[in-house]
Amino acid sequence: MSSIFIENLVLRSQLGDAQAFGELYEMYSEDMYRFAWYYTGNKYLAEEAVSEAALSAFENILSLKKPSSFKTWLFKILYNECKKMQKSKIISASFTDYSEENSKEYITDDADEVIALRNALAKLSDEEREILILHYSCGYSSKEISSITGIRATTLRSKISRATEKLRKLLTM
Amino acid sequence: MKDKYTEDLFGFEPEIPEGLSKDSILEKIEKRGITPKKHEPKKDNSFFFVAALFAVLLIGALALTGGFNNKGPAVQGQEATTEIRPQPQKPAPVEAQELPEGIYTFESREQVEEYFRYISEKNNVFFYVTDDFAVDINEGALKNETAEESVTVPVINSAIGSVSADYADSFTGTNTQNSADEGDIIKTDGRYLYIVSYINTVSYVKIVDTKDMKLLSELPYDNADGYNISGEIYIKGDRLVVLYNKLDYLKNNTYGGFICYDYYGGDGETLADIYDISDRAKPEKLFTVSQSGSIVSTRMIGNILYTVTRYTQFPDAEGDDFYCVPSVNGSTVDCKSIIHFDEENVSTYTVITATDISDEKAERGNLSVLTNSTGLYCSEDNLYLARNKYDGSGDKTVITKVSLKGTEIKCEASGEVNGCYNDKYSFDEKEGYLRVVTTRYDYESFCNICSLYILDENLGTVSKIDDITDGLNEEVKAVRFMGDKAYVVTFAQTDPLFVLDLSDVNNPVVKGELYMPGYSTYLHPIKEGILLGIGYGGDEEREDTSKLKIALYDVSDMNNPKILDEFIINNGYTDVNYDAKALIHYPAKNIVGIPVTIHSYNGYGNPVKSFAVIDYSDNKLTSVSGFVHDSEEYYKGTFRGTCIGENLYTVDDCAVIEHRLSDGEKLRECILATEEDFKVNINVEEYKSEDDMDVVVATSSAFIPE
Repeated sequence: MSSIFIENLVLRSQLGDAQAFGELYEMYSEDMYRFAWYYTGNKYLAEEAVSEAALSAFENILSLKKPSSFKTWLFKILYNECKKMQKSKIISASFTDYSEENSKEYITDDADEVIALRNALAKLSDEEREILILHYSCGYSSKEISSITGIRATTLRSKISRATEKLRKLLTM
Repeated sequence: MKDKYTEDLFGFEPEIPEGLSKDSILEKIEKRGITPKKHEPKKDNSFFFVAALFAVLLIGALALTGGFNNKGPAVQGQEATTEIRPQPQKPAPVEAQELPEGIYTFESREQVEEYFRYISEKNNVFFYVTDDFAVDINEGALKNETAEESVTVPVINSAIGSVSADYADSFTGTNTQNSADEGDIIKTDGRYLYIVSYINTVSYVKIVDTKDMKLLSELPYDNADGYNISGEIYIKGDRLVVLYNKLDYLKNNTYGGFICYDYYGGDGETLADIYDISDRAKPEKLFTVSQSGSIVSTRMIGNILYTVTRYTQFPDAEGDDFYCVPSVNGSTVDCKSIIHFDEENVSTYTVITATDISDEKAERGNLSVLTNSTGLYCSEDNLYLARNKYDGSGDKTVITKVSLKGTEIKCEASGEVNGCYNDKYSFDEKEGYLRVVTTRYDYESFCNICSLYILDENLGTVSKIDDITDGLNEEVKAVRFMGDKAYVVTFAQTDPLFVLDLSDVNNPVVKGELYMPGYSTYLHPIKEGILLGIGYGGDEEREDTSKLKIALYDVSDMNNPKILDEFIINNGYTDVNYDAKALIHYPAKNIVGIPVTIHSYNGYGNPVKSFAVIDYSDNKLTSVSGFVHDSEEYYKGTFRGTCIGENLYTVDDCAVIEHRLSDGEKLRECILATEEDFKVNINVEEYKSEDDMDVVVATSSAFIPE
């Protein structure tokens, strides 16, 4: 997708064109949901976080000064939305549920490997989890992750490789 | 962006739910009428207040001059409902309520309904507002009702309980922020342990006598009846207070052995049972107090229990009744005790009650504030409700100040500062000034900025330090105020500990800083000039969250904070990182203790639960020999410890173990539950087909169904 095209859509959204915003949203909705899903570990919370972030992004799109940075700006809002939930302890409550059988229904309808991955992710620190999800699941570069999370880009590379190693250990344990 | 390597790790692609399709998002945008909004400091609904004020003045003027006949007010009323329906009524006269500017209350239930209709229409949120209301609000309000099943026994008013020779002289109490007591899952009075423990869906308060290590009694609260202990109990002499939540769910399914509930939203009700425990083996329930909403936090000052809950509107099970006013002790609150702010636009109540636990008949107080608080800070005289909000121009912390005088609760002021607060330790009150430390994210420069604000008694900003880290892009991880000083740990790469001098409220300054690898998540004052930090280790390059770090700082010289010693536990994890109450401090023995779970990342086997007891005498951190509790099984729940006399007691859902403090030897144990108790019998016949199972396990009321 050319950046001019995206900028055009951002400008149109800023003029109040909901359809244009819809196009933009559709471009990133999968990434957003995947991030929220891994972050919150709960499909309902993920759905709520993404939908709240999308609505809040449209409402506040006039505060975006550089249309070219739409993607990181959008993720910053989503990241904040997820963080907010974490602050209110909702997520930590849902994390503790993983070890129990009843949580399967709650997280996803999917297989045991997914639960294993979620459990492993839960053992990482918040920061490690965030950067791994952003890097692997959403395919973001160190620079992009840096602008979303505020961690310095230069230290991110080593952080990513370390966290990856840790996750692997946890998964093969 | 998927390659082989990634697929290996994140092999799973979650399926996007229907509700997140482009069309349904656009539908929501349309339904809520969202348009990109310009960022202006004030919200528009003040216009309605002004309009309403004018209307009232006009009517008044016309009535005085006799220019109004009987038809007049009716026409006025119709206009209000058809045109910009509904406008919130003009708030009650400020003078009459002795309320500060910008804080309003409601005169009648009609006004509350109007308010909710207005909010509901503005935000396109669905509320039920029924026309008739079963309880007469003014009659029911503030009545002290006793729960039906309660047993009334004579109450000793002045002193509750006494200390006998059987009790140890010294023991570790709950690690509270200040002199106000805080509820916890484990309490002790020097002889008995009071423990909240869980077996599957049933929560218990268990009383253990440490003299002969015997389980004396247990009080069950079954989730099947909708009850769940919210993790806060209090002990005050011969009174035990148990706070629990009663959910509005309707139980009608069991699924895989777990009880499930039809979900229709609602925060339920928070109740507190007050027991007389003069006979520890037979606790007697004296009375119960209740209030709408789920628990935010509680405090106890003297004999007064302050309970703060959050209550959001939902229809009841049949979906045809609606309580737009919260209830306290079974009756709806007086509308005059509901506070709202003109700039707020929220439909969630924060309900505060004050109960004297020593006397059932004593007067009780309550106050409801229309604000969606997520946390609170309590000083000796005031309660500060706080919530973080993002309003488009940036992160904000909204603070509401409530004064506490015995059971009298009054809203004093409301204000906001830039940035999000971290936890209750982000706030501190001294001599009427509230000091707050926040982090805000600057959306222009993509930087975190840490600030300190000093607010006066009306929550107006007196002074501030706008950027504590001076452009370092760091996030606040821990704050501790001690008198005129504040210690702030921020983090991005290394762990600077900043020392702030607040002795001049008009001119707070950053005095000293100390850079350390890793970061602390909790700071604990050990004694004058000495601070203990608990957090993660690391090196210059990065933090290492697999290392638990305990550090001792010398902060007696403000300009030059020093590290005295540090203690690293590899692969360790402690609950103190998110709950400071897990830490015990025993000044009589110069020790601190934290529960530590040690993971074996490279081995097999279960993580090991042990209690790290660290001696800090001579400004050196040394480990006092091992206090291994047991290998961790997931079902055993939260792990804590407490000291009584010469012994340490470690507790989880299954057992209390007594260790000798001097050499760590395991002395005795008291079994609370066995593995058998946790086994769930799955009854296949009760398992209904998946199609009827529109259920959510009742653990969270986090999402709101559309």
